[in-house]
Parts: sequence; C-alpha cells; structure tokens
Amino acid sequence: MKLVLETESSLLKIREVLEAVDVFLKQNPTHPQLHDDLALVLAEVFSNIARHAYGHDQGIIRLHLSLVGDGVECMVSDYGIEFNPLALDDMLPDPDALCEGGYGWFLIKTLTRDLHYSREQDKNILQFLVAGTPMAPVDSGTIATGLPQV
Amino acid sequence: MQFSIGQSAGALVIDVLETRLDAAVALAFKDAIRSATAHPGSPVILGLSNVEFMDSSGLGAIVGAMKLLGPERPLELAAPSPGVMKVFRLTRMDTVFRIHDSLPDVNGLSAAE
Repeated sequence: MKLVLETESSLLKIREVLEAVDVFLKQNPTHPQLHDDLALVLAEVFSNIARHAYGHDQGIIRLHLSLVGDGVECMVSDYGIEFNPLALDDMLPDPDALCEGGYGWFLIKTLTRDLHYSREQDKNILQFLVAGTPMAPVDSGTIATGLPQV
Repeated sequence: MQFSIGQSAGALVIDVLETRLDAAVALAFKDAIRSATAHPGSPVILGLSNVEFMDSSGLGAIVGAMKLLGPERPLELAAPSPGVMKVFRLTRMDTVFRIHDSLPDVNGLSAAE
C-alpha cells in the first residue's frame, strides 16, 4: 500500500496531513509502536522543513509512504533552501538543563533507519525507514510482540 | 487551547482537553498555562490523559511551563498515554518530571480556554 500527500508548510496544514496519515495507518493496521513512531517522526521532519528549509516562507512538502514488510518507507521532499538535517547535532540535550528545544532531530535519528538526504536541483529529499522500536525498559505486557495479521 | 481546572487536596489540577500537543499549539499551550497559574499557589498537576499525540514542540512547551512556574512551584504530570510517555522516556525527561499514573480527585472542575 502506498500513500502520496502534499501539503503547505504551515503548522496547521501539516497537522491535517498527519491526521490523514493517521487514517491511512488505521485502515492498514501496523504494529501500534510503528504507528506512534511514524506519527512522531513525520511531525518532527515536517516541523524541521517548515522552520529551517522554508523559514518564514510557505512552501510545498510532499510525502510518499510505502508499507514494506515490518515497516514504512518514507520519502519527504520540499523546495526550500538546502537543508541537510544529517549535518545537525544529534546529541540528546541534558535532561537537567531543561531545554525547551533540541529534541526533534534526536527523536528522528532514534526512531528511523537508513536515513538518507540528497539535494536534487532545487529540492531537498529525505528518505528513511520507520520500523517501530520497542522501548526498553518497559513494563512487561505493554508492548505487542508481533505484527497483527493483515 | 482547552483546559479544565480544579483544586485537589494539595495541588492545582489542570487537565488538558486537547488530543494533540504539537508544534501548532505549543505557544498557545504556554500562554494558557501562564494565565491558568497567574495566582501564586500550590503545586500544579498537569493531566495528559486526553493527549494522544505529543511531539518535541509539545514537550518543549511543557518544559517551558515548568520553568515558568519556577523551582518553588513544582509541575507534575498525570496519566500520559503510552505514545506521550515514550517521548518522555526517549528524551529522558521522565527523570525530570514526577509522573502520576492517574489524575487526583478534584473539587469543582471548571472549563477554561
């Protein structure tokens, strides 16, 4: 199954796309962990594009999702300024420093695999796989151990 | 930003009535916390049971609210969903906040925006 969506880079429009992804995932049941991780990763990636690639401008963000095996392959593209998130610091801020930002890229790196950035002509392209990472340690019984039969 | 606000035995209880605490509402959330806690007083417990989704901007807004209240007036959290709890765990902010399993009983909840 595939999903292709396009949105403007405003935070409210981004929210609409994330809600559409939510509906898509509910129609195509995945591991509950995968659902949460994908929603979070996409929110962080889109926020980064809105803030850094487009800045004060508005622009188009395009999303391709494909369900593959145990995960979801994602490709996100935009026409903002060249913005390679892999060049960002991915250290987790010290919790005791009570930082109000700086967690987004850490979450993206933690919850994705095979992260790849390219700049093609005037387009930023970010590709990655979200496979759903169980949290450890967690209370036993709170995490499903297998994919539902679909 | 919708809250319901009440007083429990030892705390001001603010129950968030939004399903998403994300970049789109982070600023509104901080403003609403600021006005809900304008009068100095007891510790604050923030109810998160209705919040199905929180991103790093939502987390940042809660951290901002904690700093706004200052060290003398602790901000504690209650009843986060598994998805919200995961963000606290991954960022290790679960070590900073006291997190209750459920919201305490309150007297006279009132709705606020």
